[in-house]
Amino acid sequence: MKLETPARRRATTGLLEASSLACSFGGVRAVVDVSFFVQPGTITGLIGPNGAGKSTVIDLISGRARPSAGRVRFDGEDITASKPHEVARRGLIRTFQKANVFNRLTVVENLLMGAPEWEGERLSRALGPRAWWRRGEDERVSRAFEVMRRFELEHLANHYAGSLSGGQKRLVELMRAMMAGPKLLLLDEPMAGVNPTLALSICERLEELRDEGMTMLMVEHELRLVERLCDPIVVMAHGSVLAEGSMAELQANEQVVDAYLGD
Amino acid sequence: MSQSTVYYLSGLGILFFINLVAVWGLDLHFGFAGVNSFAFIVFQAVGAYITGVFSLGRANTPVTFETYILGVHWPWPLALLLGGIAGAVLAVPVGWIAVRRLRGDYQAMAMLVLALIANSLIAAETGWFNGATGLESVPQPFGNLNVSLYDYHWVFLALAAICGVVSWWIARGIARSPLGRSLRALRESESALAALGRDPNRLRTIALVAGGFLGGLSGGLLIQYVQAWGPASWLYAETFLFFTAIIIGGRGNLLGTALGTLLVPIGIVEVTRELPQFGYPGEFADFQWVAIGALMLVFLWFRPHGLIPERKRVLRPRDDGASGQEAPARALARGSQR
Amino acid sequence: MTIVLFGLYSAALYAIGGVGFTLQFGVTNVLNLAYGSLITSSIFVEYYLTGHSTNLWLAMLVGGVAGAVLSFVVGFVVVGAFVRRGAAGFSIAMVTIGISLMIQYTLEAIQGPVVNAYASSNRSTLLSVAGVNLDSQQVTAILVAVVLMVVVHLVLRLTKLGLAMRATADDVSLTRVSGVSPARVRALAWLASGALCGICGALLGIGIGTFDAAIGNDFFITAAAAAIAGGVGKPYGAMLGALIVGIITQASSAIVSPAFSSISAWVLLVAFLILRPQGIFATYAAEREIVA
Repeated sequence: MKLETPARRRATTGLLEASSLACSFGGVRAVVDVSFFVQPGTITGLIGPNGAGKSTVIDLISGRARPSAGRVRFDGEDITASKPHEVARRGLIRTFQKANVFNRLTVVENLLMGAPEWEGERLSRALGPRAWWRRGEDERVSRAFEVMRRFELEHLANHYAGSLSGGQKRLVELMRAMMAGPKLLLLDEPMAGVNPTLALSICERLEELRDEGMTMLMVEHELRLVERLCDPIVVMAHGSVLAEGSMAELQANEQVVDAYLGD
Repeated sequence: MSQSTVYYLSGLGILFFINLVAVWGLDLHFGFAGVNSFAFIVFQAVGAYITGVFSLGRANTPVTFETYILGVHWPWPLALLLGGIAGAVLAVPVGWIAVRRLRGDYQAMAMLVLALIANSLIAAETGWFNGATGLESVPQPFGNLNVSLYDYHWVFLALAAICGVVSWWIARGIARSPLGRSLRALRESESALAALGRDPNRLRTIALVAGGFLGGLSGGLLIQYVQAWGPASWLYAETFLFFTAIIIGGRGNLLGTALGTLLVPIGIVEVTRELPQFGYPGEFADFQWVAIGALMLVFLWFRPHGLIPERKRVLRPRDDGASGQEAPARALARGSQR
Repeated sequence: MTIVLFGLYSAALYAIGGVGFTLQFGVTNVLNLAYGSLITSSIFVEYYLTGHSTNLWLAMLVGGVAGAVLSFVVGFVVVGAFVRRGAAGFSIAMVTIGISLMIQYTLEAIQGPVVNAYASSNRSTLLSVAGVNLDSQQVTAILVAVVLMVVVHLVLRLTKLGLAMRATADDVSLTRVSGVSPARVRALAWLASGALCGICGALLGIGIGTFDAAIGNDFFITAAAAAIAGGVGKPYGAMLGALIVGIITQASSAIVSPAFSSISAWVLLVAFLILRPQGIFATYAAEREIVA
């Protein structure tokens, strides 16, 4: 039984729409029936106990897994059957649960990979003189340094990404995602395993981004951070959506408290 | 220097360039795109065979007694180019295997067995490329020049060097360009690459085709130099030789792989060929293989990145004016507030 | 009928070799491409130590021990050192191929490119079915294979170590539950695998009558086809795989041409590696942690 909140009643559409998603692996029904909307300009939270199917939902949305039923619509287009790179090209950029940076590329190079694919990356340009890609490259390098300055990580610019700490790698992933100029950021446990100080810093960055109009869908376990950042919050359990609402509304919901929030 | 020494050295030079082209091709597959291309010798073989059947002319003549497919007598530059193209074409089905994203050792074994199958099939089917005997009497480039044996080596050395330059142009162009960076990213994490809007399969195919072209070109050159090519020349262990060159020299960079080529295929195999033979015929070759295997283990243990590791690409913003100086200071200031 | 009977004989050899391979692969998750050279070395050792004897039982005993020792040194000690250092899939493949080359060419360097021959023993026909004859040596091979399969089955099902091996093949962390130290399980896997490899080699060498330093290579790929088709780490799968491979090789030899007998098995191997690496029976994908 889903809790009817004002937010939920209003939402019949959104920047991202998941409708009746279902997915099974090897006999296990990871996702049973999931529907929710993500409104532009919000940080929508996706929480729930382990095994609820949250990561699978992220994989379904980003194209890494194919649903056995249901639809995903992004910015008006049906992306259910799209491959991961096609989804990303539309402006839906995700980060990963386990830090997924390009280890033997420097931080700058990681960020350059975040910028959308451009003509300089073509084989024809590669076989030509440097001038054919130099200028575009310089522009992107400058932009990368701006992003790094904003995140105060400029001093790590030419370090190999693989040599960074876990928290720093997450920041690299976030900066890289920013370079893509996304319409929606899909964050898969961005604070997992990050020390509290750094987590707070990431929090501040995310708030800044939201204030600038960025939309985000965030899976997270650290409930204090969820409370601070996310509204609305979608709660999942056993592969389906249990409830949706602000943290206050959810804390008033007995089912949710039993399943997840209470102790 | 005696004439025979000069002849020997120019021959080494030719073989160096032929192997270099092949090793750079494999580095595009392995060092850049991260494909464990353990069937790489087949690219060289395909290039050699195609160049051969496009130069040899009609099959089954009373002169040659060879049976093979196609069989036309085209100008040698065209035949050589077709050898390269054949390698590029072979890259496509190899790509289908690479797409399966097998575990590293499974992928290596699958390719190894494919190379074995290809070798056995061609050795068995005499109608394709003259079976186990292979192709012989392949006409040489500039063959009708009236020069001595010694002088001809210089001619071929020039040709091999030109092919080396062409390969350098292709490999370096890819390596230092944004495309090269995308390939290295593909090597590091295919999932992250896809999540950033780039099609991993398309990128991998580009690397495979470029590397395949180089492999085929190398084969075409080789058959034009040695004028013969048979299954015994491309057993699956030959790929291991190329891999050793890359691992020892240093993968993912042209200089390292060039050094590896100098040390392994040239240094160990060709140079030592001239040392006094001992034991039974071929015993020295056996020791070479033992040495190569041992070198691979030693380097994988002590120095897996090779003698010349992949260089870090340092990038800085171009406008190092006031903004460049201000930024680090600002970052430091903010940093101290945390 | 020729196909069936000789298929059975081939299957016997592939079964012994294949089960040895898959046992070790299942427990340690190491794709040991040096397995073929281990077969070759076992043949060489028993050939020289037994003075070219064609006594199958003696050969199998000496070969088995030699195989076990070599497999332990190569696998547990050398490859294991690389794995404990963190080497991943492809590096291991390079290491095992390197070892394989070293072994093969050392053997050849020691004794020259000679093809060794066993004195032709009295190959009397022991079994005759529908006009096709199998001699005593071939029948023995089939019987030995059957006995070994039963022994392997019993050990895996009934002994503590066998249980530990099955547990490790499923999930490394389960080994600790079984009460046997993981290192001991791994060591045992290499030893057992080597013993089977040596026995297989002895039967192979005497069966063919002649051998050189390359004999193990092609045979290994075919045995690996049986093991991988049957399912990585599943000995029963390897046995079934061996039967399939045995029949296929004999059939293609008869129907197409002798040159194709191995090729058909190799095509099967590649097909499985590419399309279904977990084999017919296994249910998980081959993404487990490598130990050794």
